[in-house]
Amino acid sequence: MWKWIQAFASPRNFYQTSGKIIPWLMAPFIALSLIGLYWSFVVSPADYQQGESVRIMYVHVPAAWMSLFIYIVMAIASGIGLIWQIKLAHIVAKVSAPVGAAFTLLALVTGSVWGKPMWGTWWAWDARLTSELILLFLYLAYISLHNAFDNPKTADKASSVLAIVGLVNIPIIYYSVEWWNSLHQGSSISTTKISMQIDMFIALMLISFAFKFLYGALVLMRARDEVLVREQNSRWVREIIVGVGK
Amino acid sequence: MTKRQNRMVLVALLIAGAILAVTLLLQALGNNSNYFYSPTSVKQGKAPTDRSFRLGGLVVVGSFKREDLKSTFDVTDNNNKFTIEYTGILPDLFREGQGIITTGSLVNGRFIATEVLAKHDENYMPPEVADALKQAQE
Amino acid sequence: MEFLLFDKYTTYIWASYLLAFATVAILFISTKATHKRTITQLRIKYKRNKK
Repeated sequence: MWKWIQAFASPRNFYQTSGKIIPWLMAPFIALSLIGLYWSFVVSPADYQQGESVRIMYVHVPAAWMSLFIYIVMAIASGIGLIWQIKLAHIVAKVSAPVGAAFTLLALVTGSVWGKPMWGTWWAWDARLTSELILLFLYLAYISLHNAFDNPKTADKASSVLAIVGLVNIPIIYYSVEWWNSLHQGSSISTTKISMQIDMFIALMLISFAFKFLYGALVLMRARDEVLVREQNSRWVREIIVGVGK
Repeated sequence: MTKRQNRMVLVALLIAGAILAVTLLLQALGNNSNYFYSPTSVKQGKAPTDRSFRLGGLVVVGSFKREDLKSTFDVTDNNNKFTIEYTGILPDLFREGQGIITTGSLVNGRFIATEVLAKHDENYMPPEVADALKQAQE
Repeated sequence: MEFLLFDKYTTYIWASYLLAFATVAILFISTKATHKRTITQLRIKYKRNKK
């Protein structure tokens, strides 16, 4: 079975298949973003306490979810890459890191922009905010560690260890608002209850899914590029590149 | 063991080691990871009252008084309460009944605040729904 | 269109959405730019090796 998976995940096969999938991720991303913007600006109501500022949540929360989601994907891909030595898994982990870092930064900044008028401060060193900032540093550490090696195999190994160890931060971020007294509010959405009006929830979900599709498209695009670089000495890459030139 | 199983064990050990290290770290940090102290834990002497610290709780309904920029109000955790004195602009979410976190120090039993932050809860709803809920409760 | 002013939170809300848009745009542009650079570099390399 491993042989079969390895054949399917072969760089060449991936390059050809993924090219066809990207438009199918981009189309839902654009559609969901547009509907999501309409829902968050027009359909969803103002909050009884936060007033209109609640609308910041529709970018903040999906971005924060992405920061966790992408890290988990990155760590799992790193684990698969380490154990089964699948090149493509390492590539997915590597190209995910900058996207994850961007979403983490977006979550931190939009949170700050919401915090100023609502809490009365741009920043507080509470458990949630601090652990999310550590997540940003983990992404940046991963990126710089990967760049520090010339040999992609060594780089993959070293940075996957970092990605896997850093995984402990994820439950800390998620449960920080329950384990400690924090300034940040608790989760409104869990498997058991949704403490949110339905149109607010829909707006949140639309943008959240839009971001998921965006991430999928970006990972495929970036992974295709990485595949070309890493396989540049093989004939099929040469054929593609020379063909592009004609 | 095959090489692949060896690597699996390695990854499992990595995760276990990281969890252990962080658990120990968090245990060591203990109360220091809490962003604020409740009035009860302050009364029990758990807060560092010799210097500036953060106090969190609900603003007692009917306790808020204001003269120009100087405001006084009570903060409670439904067991104990402190009177807060604060000069400055209050955040938009500040209101009676709301959870707040304030930084300052105790002077003769009164909490002189240098900063007041409003806490938000996890409930999001339009004003009409909030009104309806309130009426249903009364 | 007055509702797009969002009460007193105009700047905060628009800043958040513009930042989100900028993040998405930067991610796309950087991805495309890297790919373009890769293709150019590889093409140069292959040409050089042919000679």
